Amino acid sequence: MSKEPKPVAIIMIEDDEGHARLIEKNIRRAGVTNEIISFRNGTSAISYLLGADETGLAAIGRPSLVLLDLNLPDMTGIDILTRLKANEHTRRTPVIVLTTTDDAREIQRCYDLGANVYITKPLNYESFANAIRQLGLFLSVMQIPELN
Amino acid sequence: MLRSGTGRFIGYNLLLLAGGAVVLLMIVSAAFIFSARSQVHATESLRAARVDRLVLEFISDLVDAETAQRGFIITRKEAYLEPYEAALGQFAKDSADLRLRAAEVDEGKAIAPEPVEELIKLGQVRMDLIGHNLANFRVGNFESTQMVAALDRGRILMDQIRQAGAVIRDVAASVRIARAAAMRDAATLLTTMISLGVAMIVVLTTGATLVMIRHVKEIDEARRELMDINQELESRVRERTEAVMRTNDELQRYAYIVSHDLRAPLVNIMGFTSELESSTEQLTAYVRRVGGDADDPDRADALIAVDEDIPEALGFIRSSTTRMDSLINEILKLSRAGRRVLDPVPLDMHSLVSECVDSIRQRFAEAGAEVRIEGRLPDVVSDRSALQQIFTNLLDNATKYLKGGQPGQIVVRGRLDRGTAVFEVEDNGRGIAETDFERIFELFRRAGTQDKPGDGIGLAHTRMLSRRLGGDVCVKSDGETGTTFIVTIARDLVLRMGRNEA
Repeated sequence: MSKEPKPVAIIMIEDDEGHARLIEKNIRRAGVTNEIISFRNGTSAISYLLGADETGLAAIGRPSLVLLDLNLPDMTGIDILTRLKANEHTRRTPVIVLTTTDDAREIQRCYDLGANVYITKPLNYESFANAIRQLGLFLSVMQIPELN
Repeated sequence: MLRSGTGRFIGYNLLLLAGGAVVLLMIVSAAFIFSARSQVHATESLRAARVDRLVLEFISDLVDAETAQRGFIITRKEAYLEPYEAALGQFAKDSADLRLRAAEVDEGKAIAPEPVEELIKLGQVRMDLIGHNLANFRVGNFESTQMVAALDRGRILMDQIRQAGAVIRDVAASVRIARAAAMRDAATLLTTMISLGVAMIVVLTTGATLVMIRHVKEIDEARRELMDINQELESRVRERTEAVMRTNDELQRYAYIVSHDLRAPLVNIMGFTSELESSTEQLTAYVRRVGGDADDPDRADALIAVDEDIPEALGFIRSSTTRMDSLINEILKLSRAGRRVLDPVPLDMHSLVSECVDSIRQRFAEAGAEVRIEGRLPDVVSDRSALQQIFTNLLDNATKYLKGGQPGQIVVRGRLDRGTAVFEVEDNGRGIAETDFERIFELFRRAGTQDKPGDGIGLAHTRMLSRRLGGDVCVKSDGETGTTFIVTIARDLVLRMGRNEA
C-alpha cells in the first residue's frame, strides 16, 4: 500500500463509537498506518464517498477501502453498499462488511450486491480483537485499484 | 332442536300410522259386515226363488196328472196311468216341500201359511178329483155328461189353483226384488266405503310423506347449521392459532433484537476493560519501577490501587460481563432455535432416544445412573434435532439432580393419545416442589438447592421446542422421591402444521 502514489484511506462507517475506537486500535496494532476516516451515520458517509453532489466524481484519484457496519441509525449498510456499487466511480472500491448480523440470507445479499468481504463480529471481545487484527494484516497486503 | 324435531316426527308418524290402521280396520269390518249381510240377502233371495219354483212344480204336477188322465180317457191305454202315478208321488213330495220352504222365507214372515195351505188344499182336491175320475172311468160307469162335468170342474179348480199359486209367487217375487235391491245397496255402500278408505289412506300416506320430507329437510338444515358452526369454530381456532403464532414470532424477533442490541455495548465494555487491563499493567510496572519516598502516603495508596483495587474492580467487571455475555448468547440461541424452520420427517423414536442416551453416556457413568427405555416408544413425524435437544436436556437434567447415595434410575416411556405422542422421562432423584412446577420452565429460573452448575436455560428451551412441535412439557413430582417430565408433541407435525397453515 505504501507503494501507491497516493495512500489508501480506510473509510469506517460504524455508528457505535466504542466499536469504532476498538476497531481502529486493533487495526493499528496490526501495523496498518493508513489514514482512518470514521463516520457515525450513513448520510455523512455517503456525502463523503460520492461527494456532496452524490455523483461519485469526488472519489476520483482518492483510493479508499470501506469498512461497513450494516446496522446504522439513518439507513442500512445495504443501502450504502448498493449505492457505492451502482456508481461507476466507486464500484471498484473494496467494501468489507463488518457487522453483528450472521443471517445467511443477509450475507448472501451483501455478496450479491458486490461486497468483497463479509465478516461477522465475533461474540466475545478476544476473538473480536483477534479478527480485527487479522483484518489489519490482510489490509496491509491488499491491493486497491486506482479509481478514475 | 334436532331432538324435539325427531320427537315431533315420531309423534306425527305414529298418529298417521294409527289413523291408517283405524281406517283399514274400518274398511275390513265393513267388508265383513256387508258380505255377511249380502249372504243373508242372497240366501233369502234363493229361498224365495225356490218357493217360486216349487209353486210352479206343484202346478206342473197337477198338469202332468191331468194330461195323464186325458190320455188314458182318450186311448184307454194303461201306459198313460204311469205318468199319473209319478205325478201323484211328485205332488205329495212337492206339497210337503212347498209347505216347508214357504215357512222358511223371511222366517215365515213373508208368506203366510194360509194361502199355502189353501193352495195345497185346492191341489189335493184337484188330485183327488182326477183319481176319482180315473177310478170311475176304469170300471166303465163314466157317462160322457158326467165326464164333461168333471172336466169342467177340473178346469175351474185349475184356475183357482193358478190364482192361489200366483199370489204366493207374487209374494216370493217381491221378496226377491227387495233382497236384490238390498244387496245392490250394500254393494254400493261397500264400494263407497272402500273408496273412502282408499282416499283416506292416500291422504294419510301423503301426510306421512310430507312429514317425512319436512323431517328430512329439518335434519338437513340442522346438519348444515352444524357444519356452519363447525366451520366457524375451525376458523376461530385458526385465527387464535395464527394470533398465538404471530405473538410468538414477535416475541422471538423481540428476543433476537434485544439480545443483539445488548451485545453491541457489551462488546465495548469488554473491549475497553481489556484496554484498561493492559493500561493498568503498564501503570503498575511504572509505579513499581519509579522508586520514591517510602514514607509518602500517596505512593502507598497508589501501590494499593494498582495492586488490589484496580485488579479487583476489573475482575468483577470481567466476570459480570462474561456472565452477561453468556446469558445474551443463550437468549440468542433460544431465539434462533425458535426461528429455525422445522423439518418434520418420520422418526424411529426408540433409536432417537437411544442415540441421545449414548451421547451423554459418560454423564450417566459418572453419576452412577442407569437409563432404561420401557416398552416400545411410538414413532412420530417430527423435527429430529428439536426432539434430540428435548431428550438430551431432560436426560441431562435427570442425571444432574439425582439423590446422593442412591443409584439413579431413569426410565423413558411413551404412548400415543389420539393425535399426540406422549413421552415420559422419570427419575428417582431429589424431586421438585410443587410451587416450582411452572417456575422451572421460565428462562434463567432454577429450583431447589443451587449446588449444580447451570443457567436455567435447558427447560425453557425444552418447553419452547415442545410447543413448537405442537405440544407442551409439564412436570410431576412429589418433591422427594423423583420427578417425571411429560412431553407431549403432535404425532404428525406435517398434519398439524398443514392445519394451521390452511
